[in-house]
Amino acid sequence: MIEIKELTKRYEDGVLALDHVSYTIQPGEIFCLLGANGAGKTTTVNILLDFIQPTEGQASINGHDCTKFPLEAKKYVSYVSENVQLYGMFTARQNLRFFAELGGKKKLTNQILDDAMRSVGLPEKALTMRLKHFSKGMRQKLGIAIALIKDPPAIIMDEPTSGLDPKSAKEFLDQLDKLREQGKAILMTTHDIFRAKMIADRVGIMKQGRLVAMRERANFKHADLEEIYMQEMQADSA
Amino acid sequence: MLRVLIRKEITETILDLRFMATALLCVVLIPLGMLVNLQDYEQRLAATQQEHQMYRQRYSVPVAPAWGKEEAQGFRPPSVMSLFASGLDPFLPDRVFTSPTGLFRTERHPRLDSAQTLLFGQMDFAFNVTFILSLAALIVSFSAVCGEKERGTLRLMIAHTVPRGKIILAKVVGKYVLVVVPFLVSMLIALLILEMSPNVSIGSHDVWPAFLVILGVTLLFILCMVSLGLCISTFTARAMSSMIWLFFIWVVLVLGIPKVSPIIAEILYPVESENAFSFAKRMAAEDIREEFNQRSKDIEKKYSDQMDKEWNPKFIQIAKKYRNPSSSEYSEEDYLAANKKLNDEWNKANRERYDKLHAVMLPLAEELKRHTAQSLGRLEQDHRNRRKKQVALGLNLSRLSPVSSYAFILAELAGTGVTEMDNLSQNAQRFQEQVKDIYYDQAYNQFNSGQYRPKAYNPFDPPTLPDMTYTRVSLAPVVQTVWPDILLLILFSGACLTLAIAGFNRYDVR
Repeated sequence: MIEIKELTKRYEDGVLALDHVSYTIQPGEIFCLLGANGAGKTTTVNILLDFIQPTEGQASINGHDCTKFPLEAKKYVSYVSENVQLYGMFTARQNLRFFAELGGKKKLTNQILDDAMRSVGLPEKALTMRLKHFSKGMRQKLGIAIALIKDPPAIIMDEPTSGLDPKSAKEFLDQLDKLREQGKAILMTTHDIFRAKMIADRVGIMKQGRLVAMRERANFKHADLEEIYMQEMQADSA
Repeated sequence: MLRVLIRKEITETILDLRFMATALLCVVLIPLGMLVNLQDYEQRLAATQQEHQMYRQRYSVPVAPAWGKEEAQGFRPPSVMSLFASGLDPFLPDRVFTSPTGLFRTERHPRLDSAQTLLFGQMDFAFNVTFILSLAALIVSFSAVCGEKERGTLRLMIAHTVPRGKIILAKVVGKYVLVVVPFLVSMLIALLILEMSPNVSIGSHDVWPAFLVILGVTLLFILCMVSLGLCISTFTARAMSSMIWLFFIWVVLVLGIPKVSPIIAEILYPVESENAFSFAKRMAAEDIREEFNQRSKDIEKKYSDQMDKEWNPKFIQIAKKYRNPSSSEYSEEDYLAANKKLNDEWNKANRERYDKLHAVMLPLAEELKRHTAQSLGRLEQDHRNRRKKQVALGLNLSRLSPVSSYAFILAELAGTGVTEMDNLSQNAQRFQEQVKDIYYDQAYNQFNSGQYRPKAYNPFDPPTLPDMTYTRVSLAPVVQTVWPDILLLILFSGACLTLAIAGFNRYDVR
């Protein structure tokens, strides 16, 4: 569903953010991309969503090249950012309706919108509340609702659990489980090794733009993922 | 998709404090400006009517012509459209003075009652649009793209299946609608204020077509400003940067270019000042007169010498004949008789000489008049042409700013623009010719010297001085005149929109 081939990105200032990275994410798979700040995780996301152009290589979603046919590719993907920012003067329902309509979901009833927000754990009083009164966690939940209401086959999440309290994070992981069951291909970048271990089918470890390790769930299920991660970091440094 | 984006833009902007502030400004300032201008217009109209009435009472039927005492006067009434743009109106003459010489002069009474207006500037519709509405359009649009990037919402929007061109289009339409709606509401209130005045009829044929064109051009001008705001917004990463750039550009467009371009034109194409030109004209006239004086003196001297040459020997001869004691015909009585006879003959000959001289001098005076008129006319024409070129250069330079183009269009449509100066001259010339036929040709004689003197005319059938019928330039030629400026506004907004779309296609949304 999400395919990355020899993806390379060198910025104008010469920094090599991605260095020939390749991987594929299948439907019903959760792929967690781990790595320190500046490892190239967000750059990958930016290329997939056509925010920036790659220097080399190819990224595609559902077979559509993200650079050549970005609008076509984006039809099949939703996005949850690290810090979901929405229109502060709009209510949660107005925000959800707007982005749902952008995603092609027209004429949704308030009931459908409210159900979508309830499903991600937003409290009842928040549904008609203006976003400027939302906490970061609530915004994040609404961001997830926005991503889910589009019902795409692939979801890209950039540090989605950042800023979520443990209870919300747990609810979020439950939500991800359901999405996996529905056959969604999920790319999640994160620093959170603990939650990656809990949910990921595969993890990729990135350092300085390179994918330095890839582990299947079977390889880290009973091992210490943090140790693997640290080993990879140190090995590379050595 | 576009409808969704436009709806979002409108909803978002309506909820923004900036919109409320600018809408309030529009709704308060435009009708207020119209009210102030209406009062000013009514005062000017009343003053013109009063002056005209007093003039009719005193001069409509001249009792007897007297040099310099009676000049048929015409009055230029204020244009009702000047309510929208005072333009050159405060400086255009409001009176035309005709004269028997065929030359007219114009004058403007200084209006000290409007001293406050002069000190603080006229708050007319044109001012409100060029200063307030343009600023409002920029305030509403300056953060359209970069503000959304800063807030982080742009990233999520671009992550959806939305073509970037549509986002820009929606932003233009959304912001534009939100500047236009308060403007139209304020115009509606302003029109109601105008309609309440007994002196203004919006429905009249000389008002509503021009008003509709003004409305259309103003909508185009607002589009220019919204597009400019959006354009800069797509080339900046932060709302603050966009605001600073736009403020700088606004100052350049609204205050800089229109005011600096005449100075640049003066430097590039210098023309002597009016005072210097008047002095040069006076000098030229004096030179011509001097030359003709010399020629007339020479002719007079020639005739005088001829007389002396012919008659002096005759007088000497009779003096020698009758007053010389050694002469055989010596006799004082005979001398006096001969001298008287000779004097009579001399007087007769002198009259004939005077008639001959007059016959020669008359064409000379005519030539002087013609030559002076031609030379001064040439000078005047040359000066006027050079001044026109300088003004045209200044105007063309100022057209770099859409604000200037808009101001020109508005002033022309309001009958207070540059064209009105020519129109005033044409009206005055027509009036002068009309008065000459009806009055001056009957009441004055033109003397050989070129001067005019009053003559008696039939007191039982005195001529009636006509009123000046002031004709305004009709809308079609005005639109033809302002068409290039309208095109410039279209080009400006088109260029800004194209740049905005191009800029946004390359915009880094991260």
